[in-house]
Amino acid sequence: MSDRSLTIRQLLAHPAVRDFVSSEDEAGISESLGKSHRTPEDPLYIRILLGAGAWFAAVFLVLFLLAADILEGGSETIGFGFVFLVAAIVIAIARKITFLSQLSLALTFAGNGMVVVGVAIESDMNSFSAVVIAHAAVCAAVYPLCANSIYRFLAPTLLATLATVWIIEEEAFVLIHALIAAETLAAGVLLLRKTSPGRMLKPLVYSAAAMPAATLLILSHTQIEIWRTNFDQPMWPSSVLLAGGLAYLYLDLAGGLKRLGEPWMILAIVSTILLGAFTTPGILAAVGLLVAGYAFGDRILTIMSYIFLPLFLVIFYYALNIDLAHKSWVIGGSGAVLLAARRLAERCAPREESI
Amino acid sequence: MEGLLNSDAFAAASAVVRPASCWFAWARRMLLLLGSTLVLAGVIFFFAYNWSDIGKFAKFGLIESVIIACVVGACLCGRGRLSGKTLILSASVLVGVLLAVYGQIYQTGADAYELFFGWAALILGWVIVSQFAALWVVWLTLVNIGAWLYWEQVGDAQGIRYESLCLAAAALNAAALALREVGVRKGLQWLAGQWLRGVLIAAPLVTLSFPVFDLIFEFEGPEAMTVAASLGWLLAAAGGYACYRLALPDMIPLAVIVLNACILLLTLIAKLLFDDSGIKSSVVFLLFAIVILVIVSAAAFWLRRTAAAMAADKREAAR
Repeated sequence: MSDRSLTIRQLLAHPAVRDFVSSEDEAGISESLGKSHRTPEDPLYIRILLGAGAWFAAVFLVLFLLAADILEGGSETIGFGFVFLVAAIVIAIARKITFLSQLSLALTFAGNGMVVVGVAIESDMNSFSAVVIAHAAVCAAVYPLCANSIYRFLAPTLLATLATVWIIEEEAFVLIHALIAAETLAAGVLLLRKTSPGRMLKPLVYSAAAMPAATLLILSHTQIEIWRTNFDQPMWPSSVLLAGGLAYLYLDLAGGLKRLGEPWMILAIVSTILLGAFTTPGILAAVGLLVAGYAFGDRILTIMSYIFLPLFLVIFYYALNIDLAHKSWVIGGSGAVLLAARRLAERCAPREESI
Repeated sequence: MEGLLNSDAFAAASAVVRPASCWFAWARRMLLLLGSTLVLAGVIFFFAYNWSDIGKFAKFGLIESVIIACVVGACLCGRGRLSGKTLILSASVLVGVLLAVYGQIYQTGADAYELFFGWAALILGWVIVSQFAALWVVWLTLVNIGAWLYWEQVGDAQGIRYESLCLAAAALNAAALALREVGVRKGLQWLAGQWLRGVLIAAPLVTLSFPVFDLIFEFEGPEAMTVAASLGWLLAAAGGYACYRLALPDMIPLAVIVLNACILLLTLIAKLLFDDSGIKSSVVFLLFAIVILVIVSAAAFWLRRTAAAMAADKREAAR
C-alpha cells in the first residue's frame, strides 16, 4: 500500500483504470473539475454547535410561550407551531446569514415540537399513531423547504424513533421487522446509489443509515427492563434482513456477484451470518455503519458506528439470560472467536491483483 | 460518487485508491480491538462471579499469569505492531485489577487514591516503552482520578482548596499536551492522531471551568484563589488560541476552546438574567433564547471565518 496520494487526473491515467474510462467520461470529469467550487459544507463540529444552540434556543422559546400563558391548549399549540414553521421557512429563504439561519432552525425545532405535542394533547394522548402521523406530515412538508442539514438529519431519524415507540406501545411487535426492512432498504438504496445525493438528500442518507440502529436501540430498552412493555417477538427476521443487507453491501463494494466465490468474501458473509445468529441485530446494524464508513471514507458514518457498536455489545451481553459465570465464558469465547477469525483472515487474504 | 464514471471505471478506481490489502489491514485491526476487549471483559466477569470461591493465591496466580502472558505476547508481537500495543494495554488494565484484589484480600485500609497512583506508577515503564497514545491517555486519566480522589479523601480535610487541585491537574494535562506537540515535531508519529490533541486541550479547559462556574455563581464575594484559577482558564484559552491559530494551525482545538467559552458565557448571562435582572420570567426566557442564538451564531461565524483564513494561509504556504 502506497501512502502517496493521487490526484484525480493521475488516478484516471493509472494503468488499472484508464482502459475503463471513455473520452466522454474524461470530458465530463474535466468539465466538472473546471466548474467553480460550491460553497463548502460546515465541518461536523460547527454543525453540532449550531444544532445544540438551536435546540436550546427552541426550548427557551417554548418556555417563553408557556410562561406567558400563550399555549393553553392543543389547538393553540398546533397553531403557534405552524406559525413558527412558516416563519422559519420564510426566514431561511429570505437571508443566508448565520444568525437568521440559526433562528430559522430554532423556530423549526420549536414549531415541529409544538405541532406534534399539540396533536398529542388534542388526541388526549390516547393514540400515539396521531403523533407519528403528525411528525411524518410536518417532516415531509418542511424537509424540502428548510434547507438545513441538521433538521434534515434529525427529523427523519426522529420519525423512525417515534414509529418504533408506536409499535412498542401498540404491542404490534411483528411490525418491527417491516420497519427494519423498510429502513434497511432505504439505507441501501441511498448509500449505494452511483450518483451524488446532492445537498438536499445527503442528510437523508445519513439519517437512513442511522435508522436501523436507532430503531433497534429503542427496542433494546424493552430487553433491559427499563420499559414496561414485555417484548416477546423473536428477532431473527430482523437479523436475517440485516445480514442479507450486509452481504449485499460487501458484494457491491467488492465489485459485484463475481466476488461471491472468493474465500475472503465467503469468510465475511459466513461471519456476518454467525454474528446475526448468535447476537443481536443491532450489532449487525452497527457493523454496517462501520463498513460503510470505511468504504466511503465517511467520518460521520464511522462516528455513528463507534457510538452504536459498544452500546449494542453492552446491551447484548447485559440482556443475556444466563448467570454471570456463563456470561464470562460467552464474552471471553466471543472475543476468542473474533481473534481466531483474525488469524483465519490472514490465510484468506486476497492477492493484490485479484481485486 | 458524482456519477461521472461508469461502474467498471468506478470499481477499478476504487481498487486503486483502496486496494484489498487496505481492507484486510482494517478488518484485522477491528477484529483485534474487538476480540481483545471481549476476552478482557470475559476475564473480569469470570473473577467477579467466582470471587468468593477462589482462594487468594489462586486469584493472584491467575491475574499475574494473564499479565505475564500479555507482556510476553507483547514482546513476541513487537511493540511497533497494534497487537503488541493492545497486549501492553491489557496488561496495564490488569495491573489495576491485581491491585484491587490485593486491597480486598488483605484489607489494607489504603485510600482509593493510593490505588490509582500506585497503578499509574507501576505501569509507567510500559507506558513509556509502548509508543501507544491510547495507553498514555489511560495513564493520564489514572493520575487525574488519583489527584481528585486525593483531594476528596485527604486534601479537603487538610484545607487544600479545590482550585489548587484544578490548577495542578490543568498544569499536568497542559504539560502532556505540550509534550505531545514536541514529540510530533521530533517525528513521533504515534502521537500525531488529531483526537489526542482534542482530548488534551479539552482536559485543562474543563478542569479550569469549575472555578469559573464558581466565580459566576459566587460573584459577589469570590475568593482570591477562585479568581486566580479563573485567570488560569483565561490563560489556557488564550494560550491555546495563540498556539493553534498561529503556531500549529488546527481547527479542532479552536472549536473546543470556542465551545467551552460559549458554555461559560451563556452560564454567566443566564445567571445575570434569571437571578439578578428582575425582569419578568416569561420575557427572560425569550431574551435568553435570543442570547443563545446570538452567541452560537457568532461562534459559528468566527469558526467558519477562521477555517477559511487557515485554508488560505495553507494554500499560500504551499505555493
